[in-house]
Amino acid sequence: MDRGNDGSHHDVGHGGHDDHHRSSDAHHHRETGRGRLLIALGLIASYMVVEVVAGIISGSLALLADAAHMLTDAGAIGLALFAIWVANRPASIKRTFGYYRTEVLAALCNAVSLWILAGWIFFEAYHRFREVPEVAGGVVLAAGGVGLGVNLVAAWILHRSAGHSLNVEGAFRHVVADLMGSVGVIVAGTLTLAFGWWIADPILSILIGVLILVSSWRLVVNVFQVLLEGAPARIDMHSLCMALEDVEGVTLVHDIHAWTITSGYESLTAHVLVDPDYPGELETLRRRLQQIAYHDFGIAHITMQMEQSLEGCTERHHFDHLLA
Amino acid sequence: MAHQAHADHSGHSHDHHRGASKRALVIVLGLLATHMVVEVVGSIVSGSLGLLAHAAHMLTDMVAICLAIFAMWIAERPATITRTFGYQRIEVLVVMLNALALWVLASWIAYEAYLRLTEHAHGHDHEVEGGIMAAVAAIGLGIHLIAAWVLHRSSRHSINVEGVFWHIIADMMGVIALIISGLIALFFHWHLIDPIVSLVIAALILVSSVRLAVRVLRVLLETVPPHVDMYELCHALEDVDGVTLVHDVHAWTITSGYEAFTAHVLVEADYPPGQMDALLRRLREIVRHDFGIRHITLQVEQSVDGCGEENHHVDHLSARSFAEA
Repeated sequence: MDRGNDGSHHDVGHGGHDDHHRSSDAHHHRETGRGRLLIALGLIASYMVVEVVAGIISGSLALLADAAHMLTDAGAIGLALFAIWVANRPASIKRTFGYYRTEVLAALCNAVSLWILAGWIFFEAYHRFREVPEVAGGVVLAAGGVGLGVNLVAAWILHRSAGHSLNVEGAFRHVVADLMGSVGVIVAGTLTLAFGWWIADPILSILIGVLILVSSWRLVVNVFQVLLEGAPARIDMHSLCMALEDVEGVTLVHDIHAWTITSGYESLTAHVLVDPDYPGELETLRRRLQQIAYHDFGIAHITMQMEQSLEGCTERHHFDHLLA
Repeated sequence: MAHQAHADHSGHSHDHHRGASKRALVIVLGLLATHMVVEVVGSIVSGSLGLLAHAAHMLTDMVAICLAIFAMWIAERPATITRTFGYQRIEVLVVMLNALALWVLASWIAYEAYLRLTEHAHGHDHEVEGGIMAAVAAIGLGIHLIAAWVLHRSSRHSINVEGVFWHIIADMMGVIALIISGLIALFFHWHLIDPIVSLVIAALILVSSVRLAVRVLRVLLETVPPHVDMYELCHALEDVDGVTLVHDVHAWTITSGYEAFTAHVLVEADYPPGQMDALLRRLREIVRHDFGIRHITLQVEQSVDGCGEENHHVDHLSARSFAEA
């Protein structure tokens, strides 16, 4: 095509990552998230290896079972890491938004597996109400104690990144669920050993199951919010529309959509009706509107259709914020 | 109704499809409920665990249909300021949950079959009244054939109805297997056929749901709809007089049959400002009429200054121009 455009064209294609803080913000969070996930995975994996070795040497099945338990945590973290690896693949003509959504889907997988885990805990607790469970021995208590420590450290490491990424939050919730499980094992084991209160085990199990459901609820809601393409919670759509309409020359903003591609990376599309008598250049006006959406509302990906009449506008669900 | 829906490809065809789909689902729901009652009674009379398991299976089918109807109802709710695309995506999410349910179901059937096989190894066989079992299953086959026929007509227009359709097909396999194993139990007293057939059913359920799951994932990952050729679309837009370059193009599916397209269109710097609106309308017509995408946002620009924010510009030309360089 027009060779004269090649220079700017090049900028368009490659400037995004380094020059612009919004998109590099998401990139930065992804990188720190990856680092923390790797550390947490290393911690849990090394503890798992220690448990397996100790289990084989001592012949304790309980230790091996606990190691298998830690494996689910490692799996959740591994899934999150895998999603980050996939998300970093470049966009293509078939996948124009890239692979960022895999992060959200990984979070969904982790949330669903937490629910299945909670269901299994309820099922087990139901059986234990009917028959006296086997008492957790000293070895199990010790393993539970060390496991608690490992999970505490892992949760602490993941905690700060969890706020920035649904993907990391999914792994974080798994670690927290496991942490609660360790507390349950220790408390129930102690009560059973000291006072013979075996009923403490199923009661605590149910409590932990409920806690897992409650603590993962927010994650599920946020994931569904993204998959339903709802407006990001942090963006006030009314004030965004107002801000755009306050610009001189703009008559009406309609058919406006904002949604999340992945945590920290949002997209905005809008149709902007411009006063036909507006004397200035449409180009300058549009750039100003984009700056508002970009700087004041932190939206990285913007497409604005500037129109001087509503003719030929056929979208089925024009969301006109003025109707409200 | 169906003919009308087929013929009418523009405007509100989606709404028509949805109305027809909903009616089809309600009819099927009634059919399945009848069948389930017959099966429960049949299992009590014949003592067949297979029939009871199948009745439970049907219950999950009915839940799936209720979910699908609910999804259609909620998808009709108007868009709001926080849910600017409306509730259309719920349809897709319900299909995903449906696929998950199918997998859980298949695992359960496999587990049951495993239990029966181990029982057989220990010398215990479940004996069933094969004749009653086969008769009840034969009634079920008729009901399922009607249900599948009712759904088949609308399943092409909605991924959601298709989800239910595959449920019914998987179910029908189960019914056929029940008839055969009932007859074998009746005539040959070989009761081991039951768990073996169950395992085959579980495998069939898995296979039938994988295709659906792949389609759902494609929608959720916001990939380009399979029927849209992005290269062709970009070329068509660039062939219009005055257009220099199309970049940052995105096409994705909101819900089955409803796609969205956004692009930045670079226009020659000396293009007369007075004709911008006409150019925009022409470009929109190309996307809408020639490519059938109904939700369009085109950013017409005369320079790419200040357009660096988008961090994943899929520039369909970059592949070629870099190759040339």
